[in-house]
Amino acid sequence: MVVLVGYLLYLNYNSQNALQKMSASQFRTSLNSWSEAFNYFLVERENDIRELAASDFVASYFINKSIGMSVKYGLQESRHIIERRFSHFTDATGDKKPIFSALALRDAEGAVVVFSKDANSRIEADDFDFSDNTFKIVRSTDPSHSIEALLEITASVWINEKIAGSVVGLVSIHELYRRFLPKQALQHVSESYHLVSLTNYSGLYSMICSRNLDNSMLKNYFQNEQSSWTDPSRPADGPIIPDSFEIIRFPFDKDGLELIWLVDKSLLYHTGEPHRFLLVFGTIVISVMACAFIAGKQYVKSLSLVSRLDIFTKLKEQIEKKNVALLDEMKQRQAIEEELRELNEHLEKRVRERSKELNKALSRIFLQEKLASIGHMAAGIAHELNNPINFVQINFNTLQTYFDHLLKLIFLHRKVAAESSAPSHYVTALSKFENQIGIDSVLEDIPVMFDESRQGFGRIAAIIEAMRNFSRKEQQNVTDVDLNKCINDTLIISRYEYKYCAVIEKHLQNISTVEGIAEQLNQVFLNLVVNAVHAIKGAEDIKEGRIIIRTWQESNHVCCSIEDNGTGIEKKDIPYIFEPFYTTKPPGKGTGLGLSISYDIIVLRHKGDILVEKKKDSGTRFTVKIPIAARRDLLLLPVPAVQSE
Amino acid sequence: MLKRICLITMLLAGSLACANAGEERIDLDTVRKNGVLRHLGVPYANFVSGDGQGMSCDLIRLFAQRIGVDYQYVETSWSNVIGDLVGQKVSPDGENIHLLGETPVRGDIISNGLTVLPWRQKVLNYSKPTFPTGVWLIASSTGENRPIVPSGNMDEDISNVKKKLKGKSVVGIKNTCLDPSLYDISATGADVRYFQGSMNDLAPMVIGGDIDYALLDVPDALVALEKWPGKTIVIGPVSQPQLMGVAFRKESLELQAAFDSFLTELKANGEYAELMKQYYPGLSYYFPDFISGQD
Repeated sequence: MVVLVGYLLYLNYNSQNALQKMSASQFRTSLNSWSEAFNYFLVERENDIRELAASDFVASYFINKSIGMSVKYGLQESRHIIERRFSHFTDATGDKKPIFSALALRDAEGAVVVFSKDANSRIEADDFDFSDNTFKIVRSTDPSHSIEALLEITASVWINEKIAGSVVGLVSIHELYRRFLPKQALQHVSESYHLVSLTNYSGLYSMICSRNLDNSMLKNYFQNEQSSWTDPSRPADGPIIPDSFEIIRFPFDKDGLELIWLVDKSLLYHTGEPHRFLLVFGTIVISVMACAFIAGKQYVKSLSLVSRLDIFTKLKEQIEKKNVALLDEMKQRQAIEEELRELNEHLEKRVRERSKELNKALSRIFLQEKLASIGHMAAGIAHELNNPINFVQINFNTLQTYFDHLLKLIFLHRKVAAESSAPSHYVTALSKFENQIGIDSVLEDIPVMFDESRQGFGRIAAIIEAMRNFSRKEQQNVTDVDLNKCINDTLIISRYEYKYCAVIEKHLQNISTVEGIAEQLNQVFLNLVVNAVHAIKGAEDIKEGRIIIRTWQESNHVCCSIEDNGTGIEKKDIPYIFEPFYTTKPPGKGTGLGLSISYDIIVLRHKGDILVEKKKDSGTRFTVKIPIAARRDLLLLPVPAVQSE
Repeated sequence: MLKRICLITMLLAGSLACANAGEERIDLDTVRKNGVLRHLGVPYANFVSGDGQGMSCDLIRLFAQRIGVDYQYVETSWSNVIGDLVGQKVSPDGENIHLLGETPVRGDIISNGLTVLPWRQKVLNYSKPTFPTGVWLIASSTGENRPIVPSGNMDEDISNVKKKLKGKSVVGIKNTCLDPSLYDISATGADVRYFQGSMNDLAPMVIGGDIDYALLDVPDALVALEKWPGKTIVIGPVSQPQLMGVAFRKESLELQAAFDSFLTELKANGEYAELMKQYYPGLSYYFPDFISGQD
């Protein structure tokens, strides 16, 4: 019951409060709408004046006048036409007042040419000096009439890009108020403050004034001129004190004019006074009833608690026992969970390691297949080139033999010509032709050219042979391998890599052959030579690249070292250089597998060793040691053929 | 000379009377008997708009009400308007006329700004003046023609206007108040031309540049200034002030008297002034004496 009463009181208060807020909001909206309507009205009137100023009948007057038409013969009619058109705006229709109290056309000198006004208006053309373009307060020449406030709106008349005159419209501010605020009660015109004020409702005042009238001037106006308000309909709510009013300004689009609203703050802000009593009363009643309700409820509750206390005690003992059992069970579960967690971590670690190895193996297989196909193709090309080179070489030898015979024939001809009694002009012609072709130089150069060509054929044959050695599949078996030959083949193959950047120094001793797979060892040496070339290319401060290759024998090992004067290897990188995919080269320059595979071939397959050392001055030295006898089972395992990083 | 003109006038009047002798005399009683007043009108300025509206239509409509008959508007043309009233085709010759044969009578009264001209008075009776007028010379505002400066003397103003006409083309309408021969325009050395169309088309001819000058009577010139603002200008007068009136057959004396009585009453009670103000609001400036009743 109490809650219901309280709830109803609350609802009543809320609804009334909301209504007052809504009313205040609507009031503000109304003010804004009124202001917009005022402004729109004035803008439309400005458009009226502009249209009149731009009309052809107004222009006609000035054109006719400028041409020389006289008032007596026609020009007066132009005025009449304008006056009639103006009268559409200034004549009252029925009980409606006209839009403009007066309209005037002035010429460029300011003289009034046409003047049209509302028949009921007190305005006369003589009342104006037309010097102001914004706000005008006119005191009629008729002393029986009071002050009339007018807004002046002017638009220039342009003829041939010159101002020929102007159209002036006068809007009655009283009429403006009447159109938009029909409940007006008081109008007061202040010449001193240049404003017109009106009251519309109790607590609401509005005024149209020049825009430069600030709040302090507004207060002064109320203090100084309020006593002169003599309108009997003035509300009897005492003098206006601006501080108790909110001032809302609405600047018009028309220059220099402003609409000011003075609104009693009680109209805008909800004070809640009508509901205060209801609110306090309701609060007290609800408080008293709530206290009684709580006290009664507490008493009943305590009786119930006592009766239940024994039951709670027994339940508590049972719960404690169960708690102990649960704690033991929990400890056991924690121990098992710990073991499971460690097991999981171990398994995850193993999985990660295996995954890493698997990834590396997959990468190697991929590269192996890729490079094996390239090698296979190179073997095919070498095979195809070998045959034509062979018959070119054979033909070349035959050609040289033929040429030797021809040379001998030429020498014999020359000798016969010199010794015979042939006519002198034949000898002379022969001698002349020999001079033309430079026969002595030809005879001297031909043997040299044949020698150089033969050497070229030899080099081509050697390259092809080397390529076949590098890629021959039938060499994937274990043979006695001469490391010196491997090195020579490697240098032939890699000549293109080093010939423009490094000089090769070979110090190859007589060494034993080793048991191994020549193709794999060729791959190792090629990797090392190409790495040396890259290191030299990467060094900026060396004058001449140099790669020194040595072979020698140590008891049951054959050794080979390849050193360069290139950039060298950072000390921190040395422990990792034989790891797969580790590279210090820029992205895209190396796979990181060359040294890894070399290590695999030498150490894992041939049971040898491969060492790296950073030289003191600059560069790197790799040393390969291979046992003379190898384990054949290991050698026959497949190895990827990565040639360089 | 005066005797000769009087003789010719009497002969013509006699001829007209003889020509209509075979027909019923049309006067006020005939109109009342017929129950309709037939208003002959030519569309012109604000007098007759062509659809039965205009100052003349309003005036005759009021008169028909006064005499208790229906009003009927009968449209005609400047060349036929007199014949349609008197039943004889009439051709002017200076201040004289020639009768060219019979034609059906189509109306009882002419009212559309008919200027009082001597030759018309030979075949028509005019009411008391209904409208002040005069003839002005107008030109296009875009040409080089410029108005005269008023001297204060009408004769001098007319002379100054005529001085501007030498070698220029001037258009008017034959057998109307705008006939250049009435104002001796050809003596100025102007290239006089006659227009076959409506009077309402004279101003557009000037605006279009087809002709240098046109003759317009004052009411029509005022209409042209409003209708084509900035396009036409008034050079000055070519005639002294003239008058317009409502025309009747020579024998319709009772009808004419009834109208004169009606007009006098209308002027006295101010209705006529309102009518003029409605259709020619600017006219009072140019003819203040007429409007004030001192004509």
